[in-house]
Amino acid sequence: MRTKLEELVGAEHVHDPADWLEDITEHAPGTADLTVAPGTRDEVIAVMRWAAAEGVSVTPVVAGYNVAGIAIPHGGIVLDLKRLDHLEVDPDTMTVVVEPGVTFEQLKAHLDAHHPDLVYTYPFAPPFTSVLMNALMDGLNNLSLPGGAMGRWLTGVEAVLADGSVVRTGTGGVVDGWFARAPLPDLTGLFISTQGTTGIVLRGGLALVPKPEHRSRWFAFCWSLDDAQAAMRALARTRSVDDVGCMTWPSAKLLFGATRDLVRADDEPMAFLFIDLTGSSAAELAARQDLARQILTDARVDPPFEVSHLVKLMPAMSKLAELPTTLDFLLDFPGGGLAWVGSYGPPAAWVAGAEAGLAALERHGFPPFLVARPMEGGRYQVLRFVACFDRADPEEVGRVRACMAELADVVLDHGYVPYKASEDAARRIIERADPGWVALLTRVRDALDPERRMNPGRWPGT
Amino acid sequence: MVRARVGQLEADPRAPVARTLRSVDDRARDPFPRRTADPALLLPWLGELLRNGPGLLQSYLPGGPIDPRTRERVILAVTEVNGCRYCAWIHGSWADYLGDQEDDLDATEALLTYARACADAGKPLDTAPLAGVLPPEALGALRATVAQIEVSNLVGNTVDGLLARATRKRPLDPLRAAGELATLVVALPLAIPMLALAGTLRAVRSIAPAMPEVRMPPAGEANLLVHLLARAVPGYLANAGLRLGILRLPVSVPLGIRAGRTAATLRLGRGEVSVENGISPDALVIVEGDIEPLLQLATGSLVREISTLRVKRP
Repeated sequence: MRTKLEELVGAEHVHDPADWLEDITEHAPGTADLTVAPGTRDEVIAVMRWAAAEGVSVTPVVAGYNVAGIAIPHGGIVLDLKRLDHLEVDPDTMTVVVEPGVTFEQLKAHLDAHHPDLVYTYPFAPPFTSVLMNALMDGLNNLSLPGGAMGRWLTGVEAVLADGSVVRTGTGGVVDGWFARAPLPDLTGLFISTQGTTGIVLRGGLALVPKPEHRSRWFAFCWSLDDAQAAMRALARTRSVDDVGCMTWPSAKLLFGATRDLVRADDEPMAFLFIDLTGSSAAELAARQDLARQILTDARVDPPFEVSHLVKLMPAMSKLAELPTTLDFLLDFPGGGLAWVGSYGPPAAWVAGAEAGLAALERHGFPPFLVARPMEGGRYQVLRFVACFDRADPEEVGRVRACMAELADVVLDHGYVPYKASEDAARRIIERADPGWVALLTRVRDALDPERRMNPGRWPGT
Repeated sequence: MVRARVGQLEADPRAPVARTLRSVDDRARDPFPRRTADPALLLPWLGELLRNGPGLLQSYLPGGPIDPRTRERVILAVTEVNGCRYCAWIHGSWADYLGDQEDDLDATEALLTYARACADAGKPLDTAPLAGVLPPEALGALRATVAQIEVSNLVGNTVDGLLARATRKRPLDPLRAAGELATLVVALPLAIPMLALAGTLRAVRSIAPAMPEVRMPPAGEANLLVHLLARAVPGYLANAGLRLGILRLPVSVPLGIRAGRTAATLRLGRGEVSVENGISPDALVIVEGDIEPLLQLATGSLVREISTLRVKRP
């Protein structure tokens, strides 16, 4: 196996898989024979054709920083796509075609240098993570309020299937330009949220948006989840806000360096909102700020304050002012463990779901840490529960696993659906899904990967 | 770090590389390696100062668009290029007095790069590359700061140039020497107070106590305001004058602060600083207001925001 793979990608790009077998999550380490890091599209295709001929399983990975254990291998080879880092911007159609190794840091630097009038949308994920994987896993970024989950930002892909054949979706499959998925049968969805089970995406088109000249980022303290929800819902429905999100109080304590034994003081807010406002002119921004202030007042949220002023006082807070960013207070938690259950669901059930999930976190001995964001104009909303833990402590790892399992049920009970679903969460989704939905996914997988060699273990039961 | 740079300049005043603008013939004739205050070199900077006069004033006022520490770092960056040992001593003293504080490294580095590039070029450069880093009012202050220290550096180097003529390390050239002497006479009324101020700042710094560790409740129990104050206070007390005045107080002064609905008590004095949750019953005064004006006050917008705050007895 090694000899053949070395012939395909070069000996220096075939590695012992030890460094790719586990991640930051509570999931058990995986197994793999080798890690292969091709440097070109053609090398990926060659590896996939070899894997098809040999019946070898393939687990794709770039940064390996998803928080659901999605890139932990179950045998076969790990296909590390970091070296595929080419990108090309079309300023006319405001799209960028990226290979999977293109990182948020790289894309932002490229746009700032060469297309300063355009911007992509960035997550609270480290800058070294993959732009394309984030979109393919339907994550949420700082323009997901107007633009929806990141799968919607894809304008088409080129992928290599399990049998080694290469396919295209979107307009890039018909004409020279990946500007839209319409007006064609929308086959791009075959590769979104399927977690690499339908093929390896070699490149994908992504939408860019014009960069507004004026910008303001606020924080505002909320004293109850009801108030937070009222503010988020109203702000989202104005269509005048770029982003609004909510984090509960433990996140602020972690940000200040506290790690264990977090206690909410009597005079501390329940949560804080982060609110991004932009305008093409100062007047437009000011009008939006006035509107947002009024909404916050009506929702009984404290008057907002500019993050830039906080950063001036505490430059370490700049990690909250500019995206992409490394939230080191999460990644550097003692013991290095980070787990969450994130889900999308109806705004009306958000408060009840949040209360149930926070109670579950506390029952399992974790601080009540929640992240939320209205999506796609407020049509649906994020409900994400976060736990930092010590990966070296088996008792704590056990508690995290039990807690995440319970949280997956909590969100589903409230009409929310986990995104970037872990193996366990995916199983729970399948258990509740309509049989027709399960049957269709199974038939798609049967057609594209009958041997289930692509990222094995994902979407179990289909 | 500042002192090391100053020391380097003092030890070898010729170490900073002499820059261009003088003709090859001039350099061949004049072995003095630094630029001095001749009209051709001064004019672009005087013009820049005239264009950005308000910016210069703002850069020295509380709440200015460039904070004093950054201003002094810009000044020292320019001075390091030009090799003026007098400015290095004056502004090194000033920077040491203000102390270090964590800052936005990327933004500061962009300013320093611009300042060094201007000094290298010997003329003001376009600030367009800084547009995304600094607001417009700060650009004016930055340009004025660079121009002001460039002029000062040229004048300071002129002193050494004149000394070099007097000690015959440089051709006497009476006509040029007279011009340089005239420049010094004009500059002296400003230079003498600056030197005196720098000496005072240096003295204050030498007698100011070191910054103690801020005492606070366990991190998980401290409220957000306590955390914020515990991070912010060392930045303020990096200023040697404040440290001297506050930490040498013979009693510990309890000061209540209420930002929005969250409160903390800050105790200063007797060489100690502590922060605790809530307003202590013994707080002498309570400063309260919304978070935004308090933050702006804390970051220097003193005049504009102080009217929105309330100070009361408990």
